Formats: sequence, C-alpha cells, structure tokens
Amino acid sequence: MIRSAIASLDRIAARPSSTAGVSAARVLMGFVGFMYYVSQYKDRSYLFGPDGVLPHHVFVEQLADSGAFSIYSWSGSPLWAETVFHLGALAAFSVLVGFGGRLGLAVHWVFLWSVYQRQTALIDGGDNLAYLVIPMLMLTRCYDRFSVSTGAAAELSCRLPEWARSLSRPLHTLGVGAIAAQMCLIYVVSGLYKVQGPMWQDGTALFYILRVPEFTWPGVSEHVYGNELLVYLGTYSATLFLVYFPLGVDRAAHGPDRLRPHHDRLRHDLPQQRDRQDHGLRAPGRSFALPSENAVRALPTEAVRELKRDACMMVIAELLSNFFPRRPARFREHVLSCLFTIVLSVLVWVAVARFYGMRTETVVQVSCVLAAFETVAYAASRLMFRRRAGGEAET
Amino acid sequence: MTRRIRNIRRVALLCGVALLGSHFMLAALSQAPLSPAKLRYHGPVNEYLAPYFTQNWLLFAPVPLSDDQGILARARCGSGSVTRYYDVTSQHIERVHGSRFFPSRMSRLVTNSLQQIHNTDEVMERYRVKAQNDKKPLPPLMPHEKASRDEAVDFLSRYASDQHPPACGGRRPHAVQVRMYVHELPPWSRRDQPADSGKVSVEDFPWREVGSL
Repeated sequence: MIRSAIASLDRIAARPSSTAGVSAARVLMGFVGFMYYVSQYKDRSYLFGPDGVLPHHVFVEQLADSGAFSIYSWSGSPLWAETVFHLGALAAFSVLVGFGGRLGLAVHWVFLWSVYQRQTALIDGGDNLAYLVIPMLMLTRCYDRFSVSTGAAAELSCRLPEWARSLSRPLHTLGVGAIAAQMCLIYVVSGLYKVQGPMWQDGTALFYILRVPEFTWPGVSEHVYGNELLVYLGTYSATLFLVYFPLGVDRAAHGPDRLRPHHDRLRHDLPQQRDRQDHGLRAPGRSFALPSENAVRALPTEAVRELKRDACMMVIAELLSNFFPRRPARFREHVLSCLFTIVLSVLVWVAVARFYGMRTETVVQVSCVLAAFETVAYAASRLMFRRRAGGEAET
Repeated sequence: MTRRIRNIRRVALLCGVALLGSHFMLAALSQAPLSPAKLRYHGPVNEYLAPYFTQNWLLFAPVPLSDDQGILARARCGSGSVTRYYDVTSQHIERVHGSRFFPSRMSRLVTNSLQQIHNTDEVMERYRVKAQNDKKPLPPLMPHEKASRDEAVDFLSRYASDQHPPACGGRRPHAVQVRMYVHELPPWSRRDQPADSGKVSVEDFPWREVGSL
C-alpha cells in the first residue's frame, strides 16, 4: 500500500497536467487586469491621483493601518501616479499576450495589487480572486501555451542545477491544486451561504438582484426578471452549481483514468513505443502511444474502443499543438506564435478603440504600428535567445 | 530520472501539500459561520491572512442586495447660503447602463462606501439581532465600527463636494452634508407594480467641512 502511495506520488510529481487550462487562466488574468486599467482610464487621475477623491495623505494613513504596500504611496506627485498606472497597464498587456514569463506575471501582480490598494472602494470579488490566484499561477507552467515563447526561459533554466530544474513539475502540480482548492472554497462558501438565504430558498433571488439599478442591463434584465421560469431556474441552478462544484473538479482530476481502465496496460505493453512518443507525437496535457497489432488483439473490445478514441484525440491534439507550440523550434512555429500574438493584441486594441468610439482610420493606423512593433520585437528576441540545438530544458 | 531527483520531487510535493493544506484550512476557517473554534482562533487567523490573503466569498448571500441605494448632498457656500439637495449617484449609474462591457466603476465609490457604513463583525451582528428580537435596547457602535463609519462618511462627503462644482457658483463649497436614501423596490409578490413604487427611507449624516476632508 505504501509502495502504491509512493508510486502515485511520483506520477503526480512528474505529470504536467492542465497546462492549457492554466495558460488560458493566465490569459484571462491578463485580459481582466488590462480591462481594469482601460475601464478606469478616463477617471484615472480622480480615482488614483494624489489630488483625487482619496488625497495622498489620507491614502498613506489608510495603507499604514492595513499594513499593505502600494507603489502609488511612494510619491505624492501626479506624474508618479500616471507613470505607475501606465506601467501597470503595460504589465497586464504583456501577461495577456504571454510575453515576459513568470517574472512578468509577478510584476503584473505588484502593479495590480498597488492599484487595488490605491482605491479599495472599487474592488469586488473578481479582483479579490485575481490577487489570490496570480501567485498560484506563478507556480505553474502557465506560459506553455497561448504565449510568445522566446526561448529565454529555456535558455536560462539550462544554467540551473538539475535538482532545481526538477522542481518545475511538482511546483506546477501544486499550483494547479492550489487554484482548484481556491475555486472550490469560493464556490462552496458562496453556495452554502446562499442555501441559508430566504430569497435563494424561494428561488426569487435573481429577480431582486437584477432590479438593483447598478446590476441592471437595460434591454436584457427586464426579459430575465420578467420571466418567472427563468428567475426560478437561474436562482436554483446558480446555487446547485456552486454547492456541487468540487465534485466537478474531482471528476476532471480523475475522470480519464476512471473512464479508461486499460490505458495503463496499453502503455506498459509497449516500452519502445513510449520512448518514441517523447521524440515524436506530442499532445497537450498527456501523451499517447500506438500499440502493435498483437497487443491490440489480446485486449477486450472495450479497450480497443478506448484505443480508437485515443487515436482521434491524438490527431486533434497534434493539430492544436501546431497553433499553440509549447517550445517553438521550427520556423513555421515561430511564425504561428508571432501571428497569434499580433492577432490577439490587435483584437484587444480594436475592442478598446471601439469602447472609446475612435475613428476607423486611427484604429487601422495604430493596429499596423502595433503589428510591426511586435514583429520586430519578436524577431529581435529570437536572435538574442537562440535555442540550443536539441535542448529540451524544463522551463 | 535519478533516485536523487525523484526524492527531491517527492519531498517538494509533500512539503507543498502540507503548506497549502494549512493555508486553505485557515482560509476556510475565516469563511466559516461563527463557531466556538472561530471565536477562539479568529485573531491569529486574521493576522495571517490579512492583508494579502483576505477572502470574502459571501457574493450576494445569504441576503442579496435588493434595494436601490444612493446619496444626495447639499452644500453650504462661503456666503452661508445652503443649496438644495442634488443627486450624486444617478449619473454614474447611467454611465454603467450605457456600457455593460467593462463599465467604469465610478458608481462603486458610493455603493461600497454605503456598505462600509453598515459594516460590522459577526459577533456584534448576532448580538444586535438578539437584542432586537428580545426587544432590548440596541448596543451602541463599537469604536472600530464608528471609525469605519466616519471614514466612509468623510469619503462620501469629499466625493459629493467634487461631483457638483456649480453648487456654489463654481466655487468650492464651505461644507457639505450627505443624505443616504434606501428605496425598497416592490417585492416578488407585487412585481407587477411600477419600480418607482415602494418605501423610501433616508438618513442624514452630519455636515463636514470641505477644508478638513
């Protein structure tokens, strides 16, 4: 029993699971952080400036009481507040496009925390989640996908001692586990307190919330709170989803093994195939092996079906991995990675420009400049950090 | 993979699980309902969590926000004349309605400050509910509650004085008074009635000198 516990510990410590999930979470954190800066942009000097609604001396006193830090407190000059605000927006943007690695994520956290502390009256549960989850994301391999990998991290990690590099995977697993635990805590606490509330018990809570002017969406909310069935279903499904959320996480964590009892057997039969997969086919999150004909014949029908399913997954995974390369090594992958960044940043820019109703001409001009700048920056960074041939260093 | 590396990974994973387990146990205790364990350990737990790991996951529970709340304000000008009450809240709510895709959060300056005015801890809340049920006099505000309330009123007064500059012919007012309103929207049983029906209650806060804010 102890041996099997140690074996599963080794398996967990070595498995880089959910890299696509944490990478998507990192993109989301970057996007939400960036939009926080964008949506407050017009009012930034009033909200975060030293002569705004919270004067600098009052802010510094409140900060001393809470025991927190904020870069905004370092100087009472309006120029300083402006600089910190814009640098923060830039840091959020770099997290969104996946530039700068985990150090960039740490910088983003420092700026985001600082701006939240500068005006605590603005923050909500989503912001609370953001500042808790970002340090957990820093443990994970959240730049493996949806990012501009310049190879700098791989280059640097080659210089680390082996034992330090070997920590990457257990830390990733811990980070993923911490994020899952945090989400479960939020949903279960929120769900259990809702179960105790009379309006949630009646199934009418959604009706009350959607009528409060601050939460109303004119043209949409009326149709929801005016429909009795929607209110009832919405209220109950929200509560049920929150309370039972941890069961979903448990299923996602153990699901594939439970659904595929023969998977390990297939892999164990074929050591030479397992070696091949390390150099050949690579799929996000997990790897797949193709067994020989004899091995397939010896298996029950259920296992053959499982094998076919895996083959389909393998093709899809291979297709996807071309678009989001984990470690770009070929020219085509560099181009795709660069294109991905450009398209994503232009899309965000167009959304922001649309938000402020800018002229189409200006939007197109700035988009072109942005695309050109990113192409040059990407090419320059590739030249600076040329990957070592055949280096598969853990980042 | 060498034996040494495997052992390092095992130790890292076990230490990490122990640390994270302890952290989430404390975080969960901070979110649990009032209990003897929470009463005893609340201080040290809060000391560990605040300010970087503070959590609050009530999120519209157990009783969601169901009233239209906001503030009005009036100003006393340098000449001694007092203006009429002007609306501070609506313009920013309209801005929110105009753009639902990551709207400006200016309206939250008022709503979050109004929540801060009535902020209290779980022990005092339970004590007050009990006193109300037993028809006994309500206990006065505790020093920390009073400090939090004063801070929120100062903030709202400062905000209100900035929001209506023409109140004193374009000059900065001498003092400002904030009036909080709570408009109880018609309940589910009377949902067919217009939204502007329903009881309105107000609370006036003391005058605040603008120069001292």
